[in-house]
Amino acid sequence: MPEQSNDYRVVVFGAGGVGKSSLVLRFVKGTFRDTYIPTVEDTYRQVISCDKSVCTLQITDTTGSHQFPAMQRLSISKGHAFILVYSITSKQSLEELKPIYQQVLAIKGNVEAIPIMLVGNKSDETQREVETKDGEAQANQWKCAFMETSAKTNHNVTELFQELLNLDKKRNMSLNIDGKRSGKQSRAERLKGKCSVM
Amino acid sequence: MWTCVVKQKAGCIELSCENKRSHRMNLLSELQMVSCLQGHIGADAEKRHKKLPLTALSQAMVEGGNQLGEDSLIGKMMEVCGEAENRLASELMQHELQIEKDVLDPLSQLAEVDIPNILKQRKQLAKLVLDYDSARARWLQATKSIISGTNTQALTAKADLLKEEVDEAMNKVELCKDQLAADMYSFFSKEGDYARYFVTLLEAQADYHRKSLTVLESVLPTIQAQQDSWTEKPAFGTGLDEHLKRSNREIALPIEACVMMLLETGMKEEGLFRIAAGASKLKKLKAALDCSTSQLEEFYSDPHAVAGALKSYLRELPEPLMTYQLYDEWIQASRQDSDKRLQALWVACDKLPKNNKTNLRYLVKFLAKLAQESEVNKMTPSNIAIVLGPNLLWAKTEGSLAEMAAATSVHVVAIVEPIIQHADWFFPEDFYGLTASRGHSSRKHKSETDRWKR
Repeated sequence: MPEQSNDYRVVVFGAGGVGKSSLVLRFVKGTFRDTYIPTVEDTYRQVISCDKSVCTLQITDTTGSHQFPAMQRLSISKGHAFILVYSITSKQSLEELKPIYQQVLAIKGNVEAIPIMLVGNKSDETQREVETKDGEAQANQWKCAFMETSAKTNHNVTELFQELLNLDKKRNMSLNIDGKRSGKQSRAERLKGKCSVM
Repeated sequence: MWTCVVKQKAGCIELSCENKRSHRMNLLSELQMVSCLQGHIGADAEKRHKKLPLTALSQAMVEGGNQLGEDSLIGKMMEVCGEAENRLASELMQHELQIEKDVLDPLSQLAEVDIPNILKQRKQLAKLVLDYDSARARWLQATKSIISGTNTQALTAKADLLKEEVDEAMNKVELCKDQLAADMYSFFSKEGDYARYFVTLLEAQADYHRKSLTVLESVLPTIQAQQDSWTEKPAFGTGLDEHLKRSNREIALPIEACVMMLLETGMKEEGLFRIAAGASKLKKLKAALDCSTSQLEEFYSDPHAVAGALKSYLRELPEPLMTYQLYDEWIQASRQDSDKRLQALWVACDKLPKNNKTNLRYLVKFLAKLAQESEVNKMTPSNIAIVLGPNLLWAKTEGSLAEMAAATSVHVVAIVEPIIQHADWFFPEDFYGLTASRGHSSRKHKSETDRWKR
């Protein structure tokens, strides 16, 4: 069970190279890097408004290149909401989400009250392998929301996170805090950046 | 006096009645025993042997073994097993023959001849007693009529005649009773012998089981040795030392096979080791590697599956390639500053057990070669370390705390990246045709760090 009620934890899952980090970085920092660096695991924090107060939106960017069942289970059990990312250029990356969804289902029991967003990233790419309707069909089957995004062109990125927060019916959350731009409040904490501590 | 005799008779009859019951039981138990036998009563040994279910099993096994041939382990095993079953069958056949001769035949003699004889006589006795009773009744009637009757003489004569009949009947009863008693005494005297058959039965069974056990025990070492000599155990999930010993290899088969395939077709693949492979392809490749087939051609076209299989193999080792033993030392080394770190890593690397060191050297040399193509495949030493490092070293307690696992991942990158970066300093000699990398930085480092090695 999540122990800190003040944190709202979103976990981003997906196969290697589908753009999980790019989506999160685009959302948190508003930038897009064209470099090619796999993620170990990064956590970002951002202040949002929640039930007329503020709370911290904590986004965990997981690794896609090696699954450690124990770590994955821990991320799922601590998470409040989940973003499942695939790349529209890879049918396989959508396949990879199936065991992850099953894992969420197994740990959370009932997924209907849990905000889950299926995301087809890289919508700017022309070499499409997964049609929009295929993604929608999968989302229907999983009874979760669906969106296509592009971190590169900043298409649907903020909408993705706002929509995810809207899906949570137990809290009333918004990315905007009393008209201030949320971007200024954002504070990114990269795990890799904390190497001096370890 | 008469009543006394009658009572005696009745007692005798009761006694034999009881006996009869127990004889019935004898008969039943004999039938039961016959149905326990698997062979056919009375058939000769050869025929019996053929009819046993064990023989059928043995034949099926031997046939199956022949079909599979000597090359197949299961084929060989089935043959050995089939022979053993055959020997068990012949033991069983001999056992049943012996039981039949030593126990069943005498018991059936008892049940079918001796006891019916006694029963017959007992019946006879009952009839004679009845005859005697009616004779006596008639005589008593006659005696009564003498007292009340008129023709005393005639009546007395009749009574005397009847009395003779009574005496005769009594005589017959006595004779029959004596015969019956004699037979029963003789039966009782032989009871010990009859009871003995049950001891014989159990002894024979014990003997049979002992013989069967001897047969099994003589086969077990042979078949176990066959099993142990089988080298082609699954490679995935088997300890490195065990796998290398069994397969008589220096480099683990999955590592070498995957590296060979990747050298051929995977070096320029973007995101090799990062991009996930098709699950079904990966499963197939892993299974193929597990039974060490040489038919891997189809996988050349799918380098991501090959890389995935290699990652899986490393991850499924019971102990990480870089060992639990040196876990703390590796982590300590990763906390050092760059040059000291290299030295500490070199020391830890030198402490690796021979098999682990050989396989790590092979892998690192390959990864360094892969990193040379990073312009195309985007897999720099750092990227390779991020995606592959956690498959080379993990803590024994991984999974208890996310922080710890994540920390391990970070450390592992700081361990594996420099090793790949400076592969030819860590492992200078050529190895399996994997030459030292041509990176400039590692050359430079070599001269700087060589003095620490001394």
